[in-house]
Amino acid sequence: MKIGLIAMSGVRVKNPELVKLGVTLPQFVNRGKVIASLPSLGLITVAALTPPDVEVVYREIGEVKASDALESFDLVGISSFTAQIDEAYALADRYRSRGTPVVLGGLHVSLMPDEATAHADAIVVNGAEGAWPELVEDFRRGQLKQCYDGARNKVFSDQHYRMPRFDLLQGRPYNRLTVQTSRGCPLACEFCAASMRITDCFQQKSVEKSVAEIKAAMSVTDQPFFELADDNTFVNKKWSKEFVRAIRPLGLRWFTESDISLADDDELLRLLAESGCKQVLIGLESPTAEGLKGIDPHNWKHQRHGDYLRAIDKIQSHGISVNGCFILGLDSHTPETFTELGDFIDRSGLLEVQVTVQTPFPGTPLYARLKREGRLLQERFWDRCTLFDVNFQPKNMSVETLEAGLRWLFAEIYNEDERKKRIRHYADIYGARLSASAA
Amino acid sequence: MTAHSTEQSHDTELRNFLTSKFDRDMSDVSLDASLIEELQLDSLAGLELMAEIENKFDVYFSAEHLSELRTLSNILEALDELNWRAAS
Repeated sequence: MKIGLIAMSGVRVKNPELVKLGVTLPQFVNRGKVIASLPSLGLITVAALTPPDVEVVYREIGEVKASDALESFDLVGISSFTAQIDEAYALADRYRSRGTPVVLGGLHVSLMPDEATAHADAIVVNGAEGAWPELVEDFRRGQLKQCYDGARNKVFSDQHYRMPRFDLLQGRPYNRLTVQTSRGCPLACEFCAASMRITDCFQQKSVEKSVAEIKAAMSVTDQPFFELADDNTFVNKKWSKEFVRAIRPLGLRWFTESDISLADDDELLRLLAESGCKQVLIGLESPTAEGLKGIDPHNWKHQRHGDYLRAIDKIQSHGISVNGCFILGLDSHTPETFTELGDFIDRSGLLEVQVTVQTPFPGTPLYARLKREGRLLQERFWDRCTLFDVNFQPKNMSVETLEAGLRWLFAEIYNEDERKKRIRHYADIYGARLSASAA
Repeated sequence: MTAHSTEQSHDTELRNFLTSKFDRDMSDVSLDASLIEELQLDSLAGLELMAEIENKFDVYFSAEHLSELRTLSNILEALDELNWRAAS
């Protein structure tokens, strides 16, 4: 039996004026390009969960599109983000029309199972752990069910866990490889459409398993820049220190996502720097404290806003650059927010900045609330879930004002002069650190 | 020291520094080769390298220089320019 696993990735902004602007300000889609070029950790995990007597072929959508004819498989598994789900459905329909059964999975499918079922012989909701092995056995027996529920708890326990098949990535030109050390995030922001939606609570992989995965991934690449596919890596500081001590000898350069509490722990920052952590992405979300009210159920981000500048400075002073992420179009945002954010970024000294527009991904509390309030511009807009296209009526400004404000801000912060200013500032910080360590 | 010999000295010193840092022989790398490609650096590693070169040679590149220094030749020209300015 031969199973084809096809990863759909890549996001194309729809708004033509933003597309035009992106050509002149390529930095503003830089992070999107990085994400689009990452391998699908989900599918190589699915491959690992497949019984060993089954042949598994991993393909990325670019490879599928490059061929006129569909590659032959006994069963096809497709995983996609929301923005590309319609392309995933079209590919699934093509395979099914020639008699090849299709399984759909991933975050979007987990959150919109009824929609996905129309394009699949079976769907997997939540992670593949706890679902895929049973699905394959059912398929062998010709008894495929319509829906398989993956585990939402203990996903990294020995019962469910298998090391992802990094060997399937051999020979592909990735400039980053991903490893996941946790799933979920305790902050539970209203807009979040990431892994917390497919888990009951924060799941932590053991240090031993995490390090073993990194070593396995290192064996298939000579470019060991790693990206942890976590939504908030350093939730557990004790685990974090144990983890970074364990990877310190590996000579990595790596990136991950965190919340601002990372700056509270000097020992962890020192260990991170020693382990080769080069950048952390932090969801700062808004330039004002007011803008952070209600973002998460406990108003944690609102309470931490006063620390933002100090925290950024402290993290970067350890030689770990901060990629600060902001969301425009929050309910507290007004037309003044664009200049406030521009000023904040200028004062922050952030090496990299990612500004996106609030996006009501299907299945999130944000989507449910905006729908309830009659503020969605369309009920179904999945291909516009690009993080740059506006899909809802903002509370304190028009859609046009939000779009124009985004374009204005992008031009302000992503121009060449600002980029040079940011890299000069970071080189100053890095140089000061070198001088201090030499003294 | 003449301008020519300063340039040669920077060239040797820079190559020795890179050889030591990256544990590979840099003596035969062309002046016009992209260091990012030659040393397989990501953009952040490139920026860190420039900060280390500043530290090593006790110079301060302009923001313009920092974003444009891509080859040994670029860096040597910038070092010579800064050296000349400091001396004059």
